[in-house]
Amino acid sequence: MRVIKLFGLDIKNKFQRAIEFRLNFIITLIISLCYNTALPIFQFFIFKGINGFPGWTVEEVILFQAVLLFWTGIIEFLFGGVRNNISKEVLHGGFDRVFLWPHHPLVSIFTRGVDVFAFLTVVAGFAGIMIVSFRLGIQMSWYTLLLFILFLFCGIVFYVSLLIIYCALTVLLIKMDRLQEVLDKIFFFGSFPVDLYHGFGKIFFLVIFPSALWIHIPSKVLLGGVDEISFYSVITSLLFFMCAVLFWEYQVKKYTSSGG
Amino acid sequence: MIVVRNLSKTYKVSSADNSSLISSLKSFISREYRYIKALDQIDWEVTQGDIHALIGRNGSGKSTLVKILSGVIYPTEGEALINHCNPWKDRIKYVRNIGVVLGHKTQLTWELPAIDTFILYKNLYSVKTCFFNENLKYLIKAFDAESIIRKPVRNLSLGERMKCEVICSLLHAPKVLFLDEPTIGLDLISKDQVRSAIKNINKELGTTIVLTSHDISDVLSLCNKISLIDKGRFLFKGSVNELLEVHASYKLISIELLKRVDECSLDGFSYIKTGDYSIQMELNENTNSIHKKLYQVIDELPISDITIESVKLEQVVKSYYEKA
Repeated sequence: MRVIKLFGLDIKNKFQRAIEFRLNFIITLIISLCYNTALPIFQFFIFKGINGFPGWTVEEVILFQAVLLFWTGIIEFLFGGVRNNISKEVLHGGFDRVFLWPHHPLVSIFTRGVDVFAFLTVVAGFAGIMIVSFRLGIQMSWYTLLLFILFLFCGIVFYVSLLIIYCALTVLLIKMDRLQEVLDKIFFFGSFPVDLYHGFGKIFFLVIFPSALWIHIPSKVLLGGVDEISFYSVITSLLFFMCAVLFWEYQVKKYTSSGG
Repeated sequence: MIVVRNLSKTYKVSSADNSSLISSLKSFISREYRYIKALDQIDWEVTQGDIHALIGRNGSGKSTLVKILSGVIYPTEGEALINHCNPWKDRIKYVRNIGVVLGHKTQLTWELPAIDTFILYKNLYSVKTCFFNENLKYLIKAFDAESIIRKPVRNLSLGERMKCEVICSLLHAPKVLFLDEPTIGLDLISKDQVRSAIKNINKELGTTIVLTSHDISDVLSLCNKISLIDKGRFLFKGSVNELLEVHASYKLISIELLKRVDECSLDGFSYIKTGDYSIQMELNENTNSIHKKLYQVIDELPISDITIESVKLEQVVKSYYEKA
């Protein structure tokens, strides 16, 4: 509850900040709106042209892309500012504030990274999922919905774990520009169906390094074809999270702040 | 209130020589590190309700001590208890009872009026609405800040912003307030306003205040206790009066002369020439010797005016640093 309250506070704060500069707010809103409307349409034409991914029909790939949009929207909305915040604050000394608030530092870091404009991406993704599900005639049972939410939640947990590792390394190394790119590339690997990989590659992304939790598995849940092996990713994501928190706790003791 | 025992903090810093490209490359391949003791087994105590000044040169260890005591960084060794809490072990519980103002690092949201940050902090610290409203009303009155809390922070002057910073740190009624250079860059009037508000809060709410500042006038107008720190060790701990008493025998005598005097007639004195017709003497002897010296000066020199000043805190602090 406390975490939700803190997210609520950050959303309110960021929204107030965004509307303080009215013209900037309106222009950003229009650009986000155009981008989020145009992106699914372009994707539809692209995947129709290339006949989708192997083993996936065009409609299924569009659903996959809608889930990707929805997922991207969620993580950008909740944690879009985390990486920049921590890089900037650790380098310039503002990071000290995190330790002065009466919450775990990770809670303080992760509940201050809201990007309000990404809400439009969430809405576009959600609308995309609804439209394609309707076209595909997907019957959404409670079980499907719960499973979708469970995997989505575990995907967020796994993503947060990677961000925690990033934060811990930033605290230690202070400046690590390329680390952001590594995270982006990891996310890029997760934005394709794991069916593109075979044998160990597929198991790797499904269980060992479960980036399939982000888009592949939730899409498969909606399409009704989730593999049994996918359930192991729930355990792996939680293990990743525990290890990331332990790594953070170890690193944070080495934080030296900046001078003065 | 604050008890520190045997506290040390050692930083590992690279001693890279980047004076040339070759030395930069060398340091890239193999970098040497040295260990700097920012705090060296210090013991310290601050009594409840005190305004305690922590004075030191740049890099003396005062910011490190404040950061350890506010739970931001871990010490290398030692113990600290503040309100029966260990700052780095019981951090979440502990920080509810402290406020920290870092003079050069703002906690206010730049784009929004300060009142919005106050409301954010109210929620961050789970302060009850009725208490928050009452406390905010009191603080606004104490700092005379009614007209400034609704202006965007980016439009505030430095003095106005500092008032808002201190108000923000006091919203949850902390028992201890750490002020790191709260008057840095302020004009005389703003300084006075911030100081008198801090003094009132200490008096009326009983808040213990630890103040670090390079401005000696902050110490003189606010603090009853002072600790001098240098190279991670305390040089002096006690009241401001005690510090001045140690140097009570020091007198600075400024003499205006009626006419120019030969250097040979000043041979018996240790002096500094401050003008054609003025000299200054520093005496650091017992009372009898000072009397004797003064009689000698009056007898032997053509004096138009004479001023005898006791030691100033700046000079005492400086002399401690020089000795260290």
